[in-house]
Amino acid sequence: MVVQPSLRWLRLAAGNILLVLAVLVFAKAFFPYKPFLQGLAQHADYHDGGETPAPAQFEKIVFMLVDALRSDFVFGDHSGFEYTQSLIRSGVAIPFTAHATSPTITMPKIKALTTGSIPGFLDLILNFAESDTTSTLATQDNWLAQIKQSGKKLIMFGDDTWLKLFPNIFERTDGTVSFFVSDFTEVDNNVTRHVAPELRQSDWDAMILHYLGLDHIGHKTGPRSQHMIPKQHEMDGIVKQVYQAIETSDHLRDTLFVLVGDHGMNDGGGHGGSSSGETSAALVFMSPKLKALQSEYTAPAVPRDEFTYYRRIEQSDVAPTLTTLLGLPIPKNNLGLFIQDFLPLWNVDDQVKILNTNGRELSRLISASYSDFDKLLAEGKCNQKTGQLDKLACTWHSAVLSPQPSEQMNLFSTFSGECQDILTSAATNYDTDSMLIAIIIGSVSLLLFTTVWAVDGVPGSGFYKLLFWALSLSYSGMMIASSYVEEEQQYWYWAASGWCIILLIRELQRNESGSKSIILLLLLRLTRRWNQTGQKHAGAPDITNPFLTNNPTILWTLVFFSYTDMFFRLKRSLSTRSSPIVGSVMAISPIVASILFKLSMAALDTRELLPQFLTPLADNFSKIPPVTQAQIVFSLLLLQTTYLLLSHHLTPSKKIIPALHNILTIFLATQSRLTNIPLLWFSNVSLTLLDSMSLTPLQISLTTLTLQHTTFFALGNSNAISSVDLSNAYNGVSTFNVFVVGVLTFVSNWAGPILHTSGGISLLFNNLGSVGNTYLTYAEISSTFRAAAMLAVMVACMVLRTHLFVWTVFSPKYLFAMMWTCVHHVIVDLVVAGGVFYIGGR
Amino acid sequence: MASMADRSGIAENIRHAHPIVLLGALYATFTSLVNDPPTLLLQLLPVTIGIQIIHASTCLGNSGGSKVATASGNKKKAKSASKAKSEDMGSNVLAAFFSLFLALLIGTPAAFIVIVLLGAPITADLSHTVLCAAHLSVLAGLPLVYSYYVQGLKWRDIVSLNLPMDEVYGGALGACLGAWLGAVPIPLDWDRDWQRWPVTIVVGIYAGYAVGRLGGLALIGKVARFN
Repeated sequence: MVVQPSLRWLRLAAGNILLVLAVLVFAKAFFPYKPFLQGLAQHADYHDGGETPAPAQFEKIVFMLVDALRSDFVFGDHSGFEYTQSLIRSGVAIPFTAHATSPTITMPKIKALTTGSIPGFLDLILNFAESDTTSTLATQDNWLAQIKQSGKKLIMFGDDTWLKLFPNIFERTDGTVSFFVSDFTEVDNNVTRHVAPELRQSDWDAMILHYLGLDHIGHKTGPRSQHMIPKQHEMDGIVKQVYQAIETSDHLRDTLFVLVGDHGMNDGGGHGGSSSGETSAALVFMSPKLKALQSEYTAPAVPRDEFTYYRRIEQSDVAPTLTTLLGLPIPKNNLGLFIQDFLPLWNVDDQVKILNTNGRELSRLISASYSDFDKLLAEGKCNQKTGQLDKLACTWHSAVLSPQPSEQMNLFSTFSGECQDILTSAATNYDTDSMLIAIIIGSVSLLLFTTVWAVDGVPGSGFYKLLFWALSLSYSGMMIASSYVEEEQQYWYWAASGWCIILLIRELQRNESGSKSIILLLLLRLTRRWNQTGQKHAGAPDITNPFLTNNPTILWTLVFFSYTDMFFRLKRSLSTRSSPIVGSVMAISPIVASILFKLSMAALDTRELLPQFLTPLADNFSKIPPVTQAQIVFSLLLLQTTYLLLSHHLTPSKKIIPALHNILTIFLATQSRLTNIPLLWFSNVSLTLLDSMSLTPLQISLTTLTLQHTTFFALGNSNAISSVDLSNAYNGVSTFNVFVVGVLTFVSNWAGPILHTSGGISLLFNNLGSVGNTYLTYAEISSTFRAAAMLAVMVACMVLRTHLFVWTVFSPKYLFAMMWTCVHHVIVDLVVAGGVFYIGGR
Repeated sequence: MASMADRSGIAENIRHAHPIVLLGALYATFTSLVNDPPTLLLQLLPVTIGIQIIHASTCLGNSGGSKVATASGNKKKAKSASKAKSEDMGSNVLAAFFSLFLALLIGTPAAFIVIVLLGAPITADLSHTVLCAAHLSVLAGLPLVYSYYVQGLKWRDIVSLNLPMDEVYGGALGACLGAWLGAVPIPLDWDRDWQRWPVTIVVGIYAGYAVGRLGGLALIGKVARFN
């Protein structure tokens, strides 16, 4: 049946609007705000009339947070923290491994450390969209607010996340922007220059220091980077400076010094997920007073498992411990337990009081969720019932009534532990109705796109339609299995290689040699081995590491060939018959600028990737600020695009699409990791081969779909937040701008899919007649796949919302699927591609 | 005549028993396959070769030896089991061994290259992959070589799916498809021993071969079009 084009446009628009609507409605229901108690806690909340709380052990605090300070960086054998280790050995420093729950990202982890609560996944999105004001802790109880409430003064230097989380709380601040990951030194010097003068001042009571350099080194070059140990020495020097000031200055006598990591990092230097490297952060409490605990630790220590040094505590335990040590009430929403190693600082009465207070605070949270609990506590004795809450209340009563302080303490800590279990394991209250509505809206969208196949009939043979649906449905079915989500790349590599075999058979049936498909297969085999990704094999040996990192000459040869290929392609599409020289001149400038930019970036960040003969050259060029260099590259590319569009009437239509594609390739190369640039070259070679195969629109759509996903994963991405690559997010950015950085981050992570969208358009253009219809067919096919895939992710998240892996596997997958649907599909595949079609068709 | 009927009766039995025996051999040795894939694959290879040679020489029509020159180009009713003639038995066995020789010498390296291009490991587990290729080649390739000898055009048709479907061809395609589908359960996080490379692939090859033979019979004479 022939459907009117106007009706097809309408269906395309309606289907996609419904799809985006479904995504957003579902997201709102799936990532809910957790309810929390308002206001600041008072001592009276936890103590009956007249009773005094346990006395403060410290009056002041220095809280030094080193971003991504993994446990082994401080406690391990090859640590640069030699002074800190000597303090641990002498008994004045108490070390722990603090367990950071996923998502292991700075902002939620600061929330955990200061409020004692366990932030949900929503904070992760807000962490990236930092301008959001709903993420502030102004209305949530935390130990900073408690210090302020007690009339004391706070100062803070470092990551400006703190300024956003705690507005109007600090007397003096100097915030640094956390997102310039390419800066290893300046960002920390900006903090350190305040330390010495502030240590001489006596007008503050709490000093927060947040160092970012170590995290930046991790992001750029990984935990085994050559920059890592020097940075640890630098941080150790700060510890020494602060600790010696506490020892020698009278006004700092009662100061507690805490060195803490907000999260760790994985083998690749990323974080966000739940691997043991990412969740194991270092935590050290230091003060000459702690000698009284008579603890005996060795340092460096032997870990019990990979990253567990000393005792493992929860990160949320920091908040109640700090407030108790400072004699302040425990923050209202705290889920943590007081760290009992510090109990001997008090007498027995106060020890009981401390554990009792912690229990009371947690029981209030239980009562907030289960209103019956108050009544059970009010009964004053055990009721012999066996319900979970009845037993919990019974523990409380036995503790209160027990005559033995040691038994009381045991029972109070049992009680607190059980409260914590209930509070942390209680499934989030999902808004299942909204989730269901979202799934229905998504189904309507998919149904609309199904009519494309069922009613109008997509042009093409039945076999390829069957293949399309087999691909869409098997992919959708896969979303329900956590390991297929984690190892999604395997599915696409498998599907892409099968697709190449089909292309090979097709080529042979057309009496061609089959060599094109064989080369495609060969390139695919190289591509899939380039970066090991996923969960299980992430970090396993691959072509990038160790092969290319150990052979930088080969790497640069490949990069050079890639750029040469880009040059010839651009030159060909720019040169006109009358003046062939114009093409060369215009093509060479952005290519040279891009190579030099990559060279300077390598000189500054990844020196191990520079072969010796290039080092002097790279060092010379890196004297020009990289920001300026990137801006030059972008300006040249923009200039050429403008020129192309303006002089469009001079160039034949067939030429403008490849010309735009070739300009795009240079942009994507600039936005890619150095080691990934050859992959863009392989992709372009593949596209040239595919171009000569006279594929139908349906075959082109299938190819594009498969290669978009294959290259996404081959570039090193996965469905884990930690795989998000930020190393090119700041190219050419001198002042932080959420929108620009967002676009650059997206482009550098989706470089493969974007390249193949553009490549797919070129293929369609070279093989086709009517522009409007071709675009519609392509858009309808890709929309059908996207709707099916998105719907499957929503269903999986809904069905598995109580599954163990919901926060570690399915939530990140949902975020990635959102990006694929709302940004890659709608903006790149539909809007931008539509614009290019429109230009090409004029 | 009676003995000929006997023979074709025997051939018919072998034809039916053949996939069952193959799957039975794999089933009987499955535990060892999971525990130590390369060793078992090496031990199983001669068994499979034996089964394949008996099957080919008794059940398959062939164009082996010098006969190819006269037979080539003509329509051959190659696959019918009733073709097994007593006077040809000696030459049939010879032709089957010749097919084996080609399957191992040319088929295995070719299969190896293809499965590596499709993603089989080479830096680790090289012997696993080589033996896997050998099994694929003996199961899928040997009967094809026996039936079609080494005629270039036929082999182009075989690779490009231009050959009309029959039992031999169906079995070979089934084995290849089975190998590809066999990769599906490997990424699952069940951490079972049978997920080890290349256990699932080998099972896929054997099962695919058996199913493909039935499929070949069902779709006899059909040609797939991929344009």
